[in-house]
Amino acid sequence: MLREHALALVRGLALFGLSLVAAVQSALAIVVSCAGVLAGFKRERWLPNLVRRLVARWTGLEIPVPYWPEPGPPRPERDGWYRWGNQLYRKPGPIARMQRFRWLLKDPATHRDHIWALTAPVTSALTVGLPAVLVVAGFLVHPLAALPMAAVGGAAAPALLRIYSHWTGALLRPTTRTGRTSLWAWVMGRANVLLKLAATFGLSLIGVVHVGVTAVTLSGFLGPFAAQRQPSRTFLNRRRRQIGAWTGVRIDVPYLPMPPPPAPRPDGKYQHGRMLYDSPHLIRYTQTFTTLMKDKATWRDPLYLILDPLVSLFLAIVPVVLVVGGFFGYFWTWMWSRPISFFAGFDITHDWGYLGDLFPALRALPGWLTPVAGLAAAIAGLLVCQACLTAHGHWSKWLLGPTRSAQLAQQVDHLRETRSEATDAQAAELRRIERDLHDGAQARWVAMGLNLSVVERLIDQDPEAAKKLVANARGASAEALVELRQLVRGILPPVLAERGLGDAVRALALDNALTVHVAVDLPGRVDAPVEAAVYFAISEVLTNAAKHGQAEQVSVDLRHVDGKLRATVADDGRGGADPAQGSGLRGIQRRLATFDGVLTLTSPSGGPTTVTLEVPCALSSPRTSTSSETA
Amino acid sequence: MRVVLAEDLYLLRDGLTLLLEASGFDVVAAVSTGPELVKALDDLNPDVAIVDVRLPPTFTDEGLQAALQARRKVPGLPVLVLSQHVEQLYARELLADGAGAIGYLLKDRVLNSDQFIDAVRRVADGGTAMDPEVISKLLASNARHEPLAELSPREREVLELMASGKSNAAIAAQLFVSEGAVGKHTANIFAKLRLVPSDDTNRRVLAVLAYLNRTGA
Repeated sequence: MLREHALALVRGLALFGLSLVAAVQSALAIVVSCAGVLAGFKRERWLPNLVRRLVARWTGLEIPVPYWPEPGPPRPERDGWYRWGNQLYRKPGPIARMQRFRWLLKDPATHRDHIWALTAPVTSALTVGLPAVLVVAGFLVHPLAALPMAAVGGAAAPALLRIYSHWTGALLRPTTRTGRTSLWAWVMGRANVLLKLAATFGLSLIGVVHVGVTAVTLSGFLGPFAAQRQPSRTFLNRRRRQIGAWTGVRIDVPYLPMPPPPAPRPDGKYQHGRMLYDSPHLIRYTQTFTTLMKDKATWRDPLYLILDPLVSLFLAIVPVVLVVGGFFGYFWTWMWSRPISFFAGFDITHDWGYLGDLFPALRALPGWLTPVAGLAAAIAGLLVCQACLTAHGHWSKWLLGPTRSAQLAQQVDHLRETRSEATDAQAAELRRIERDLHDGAQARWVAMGLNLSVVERLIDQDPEAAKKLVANARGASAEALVELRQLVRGILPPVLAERGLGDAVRALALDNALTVHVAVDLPGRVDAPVEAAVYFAISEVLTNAAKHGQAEQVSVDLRHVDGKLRATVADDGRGGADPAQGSGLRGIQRRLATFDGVLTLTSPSGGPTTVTLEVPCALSSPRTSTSSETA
Repeated sequence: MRVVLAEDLYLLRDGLTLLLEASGFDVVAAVSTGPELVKALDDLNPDVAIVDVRLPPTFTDEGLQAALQARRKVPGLPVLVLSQHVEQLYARELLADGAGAIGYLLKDRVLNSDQFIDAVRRVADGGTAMDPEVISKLLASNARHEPLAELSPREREVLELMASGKSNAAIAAQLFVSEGAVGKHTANIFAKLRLVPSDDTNRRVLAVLAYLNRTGA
């Protein structure tokens, strides 16, 4: 009994001593970490670990070690570079450092350790350290009073040790809470928005400089290249992207395309109007200048740059003042003014700070309303800041986005390009058909006709020879039919005409040497031209998968989603497909572009390859065809 | 034997009628559109129907659909489908009911009148006449599958002919070997494909086609 109490007393005092060491050590580690050296965070862990072990041995309360495992050395990618997020490094060193930073800083156990260590002197002094504290206090009152105090401390020692152990265990064991609470996440998210609002105003001030840049480049002082480059346009394009990323309001680039560089005449001179020049620079400058002058965006840009500081100041100031003034000005200082005035004897704040000066009537209200009003203002600021940021996005779009006419001009450009590609492709196709007919079926029929005319002459004199020739002619007609059939397949596959895209792709899959799984969900038929384009695109992709990708299994998924026909072809080949290196993908892209369709390709080296074709189109006639099968 | 013929090209329809009547068939109806074909099949109950896949008014697979519909109503109704092109997809649909009495030929085969008439007779008798092109496509898309790859070239040849619906005697005649030799080959093929052998030609053909369609899956 007595031994138990004595043991608990000694053990408690040991823990009390350790807690004092832990507090000093933690404070040191935190101070050092401010200089960017995190080694202290790792080294200090010996002490909480020791406390975990001691508590487990002395009280039987197991406290598992909560730390994340230490990261291994960075591994290089296939090409020998080291990757961190979207950044590549030649050497592993920086990544190893960043891994360590993240390992130590993101681990909640690091911060819980610190909370434990920094509060431990107080918590342990109130529990396990209490007997020592009582003895010292008693001694100070009267040397003899120390004895009863020691007796009280010894009596309470086991209970105090248990209390302290539970407190220690609660902080030092692994937490089940994975992240911050949703309220905290919301506040941090809004604080982020608030920062963006403030930054928006800062960026708008930088923008003012670009009014001058625009004027200088337009005036031609910096030569023709500056006019061509337009650094302020580069700046604004970056702003467009950044505003889009921050506010979610997408702002398209509104500029008219620059004229192509002038081409020399056969004699090496450059012609502009009726003038001939030796070098293209002046013509280039003139043309660029004309385009810039014609472009409405050239004039809308500076207008935006001038007005944006005012607008963003107006938009940013309301939420920022509400949050900063409300939370820090009224709530936070009020919270701290109480303990400070308790110790220092004077009040650092007056109720209703500046507002009270403006509206003396406020001072008549009870004082506790000050922090409440501050907090309410801060919450109101957090609530409106997102709307203010979005409003800035819309305002920017209004001046920075393409005007209706610029949009139309861009569309016309796009259409002109795709139309010329479409007509080129069509012409090439017609040429191919003509050549095939000319060299194939047509030639065979000429031969057949010749054969038959010989037969006509021979039939009476030499019936045997005539029979042979007729057999020849029949053979030639059969061959011509085979050729024609292949030609028809190349123009428009019969199954496509008879059954539509779904069954045509199924037929394609059946004829393919690979194992092709087909899933179709098309509640109707697609426009014939789109159908054919997508069919040939899928056919080409399947050919590629077999030829270049060395695939064995392919899955084709056809469906109509959000007004678009989407075909996904995925194979298990070795990947590494690149539209830039020929392989027919460019051709597919061009042909689909006629229908505003797009091809997206993901094909990492080593596979798998996924090709997605998307073509906006409508479905006609509700003939259901939903099924899945394999070939 | 009573025949219903559906073909939209006048010349071909006339030629086929002449050829069939010269070979002793009785062409009870020679129609040119899908609805007419459906009506003729319903009313006349022929011994065999010869049908073009693509027929007016839609010029899609009207004929094929009419034939499939008629076979659903009268299971095993002999149908010979003609087309300018052959597709495995259509062959599967025609064979799906497993009832036999099905033919699927390219229109080119009409040029060889003896073989064509032979195919019509075979289908009318409940047999099968698959175009060599369908069979070679079936075999090509199955080429990489295990048991088929084990067949010797000769066995593949016999399998192709057998799958197109030919009897042992016909195969022997075409390959210039004895019927006994063909019998031995077919026994080997069935053993290698792990199929139950059968003496009945029709059943044997259907088993082979079902096998090829299955391994295609």
